Amino acid sequence: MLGIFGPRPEKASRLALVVLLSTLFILPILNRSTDLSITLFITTGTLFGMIAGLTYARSRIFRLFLTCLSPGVVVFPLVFLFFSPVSQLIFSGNEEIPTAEIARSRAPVFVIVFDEFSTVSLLNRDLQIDENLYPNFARRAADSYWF
Amino acid sequence: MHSRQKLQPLLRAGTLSQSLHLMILFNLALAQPLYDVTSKQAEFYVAHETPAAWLVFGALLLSIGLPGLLSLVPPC
Repeated sequence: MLGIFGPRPEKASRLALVVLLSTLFILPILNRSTDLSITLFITTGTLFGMIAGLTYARSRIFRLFLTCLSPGVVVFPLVFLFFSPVSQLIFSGNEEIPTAEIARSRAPVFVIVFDEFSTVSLLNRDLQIDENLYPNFARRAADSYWF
Repeated sequence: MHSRQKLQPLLRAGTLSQSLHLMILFNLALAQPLYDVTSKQAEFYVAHETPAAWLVFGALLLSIGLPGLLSLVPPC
């Protein structure tokens, strides 16, 4: 496609792709392993991509290395499909997957969470809410579920 | 012209290896991270009720289809 502009645009287009893909390859690794600011993060990624592009253009060994990695084109999807949790979805056949049912009732439901509130301090010796000490809690517990 | 014809298979081999380079780079940069993330959270596919055939088709498209298209960019 770009060949109509002569050999240079062709070479440039391939190298640009190598630079772009190498940059995209290194960015997640940089993200996980360093704590760079966004500017430095993008600059370092782009620099790595440019070095990779330059090495690709100059070094036969680097190109050979990429050729040796090329079985990954087939291996990566195979590992994803057959040796990851996704394989259970592929080989599960037509089994019904249980899903939550949509409730038809329109009754209002309230959930009250007392975060870091000690339940034990509310209870009497019968493990019920002590209605003498906490009458309001006891009344609320009488017409609701609590745990 | 004659020497050009002799070199033709080598040129084709070079084209193939360069296409493979782009394909493996695409897989390393985009496909593999996607596989890594989504395979750890397979419930994503369950929630979207993704058919098994779509998973296979998607993997083939991501690993071979798209990088194959990308490698159609003419060689150096």
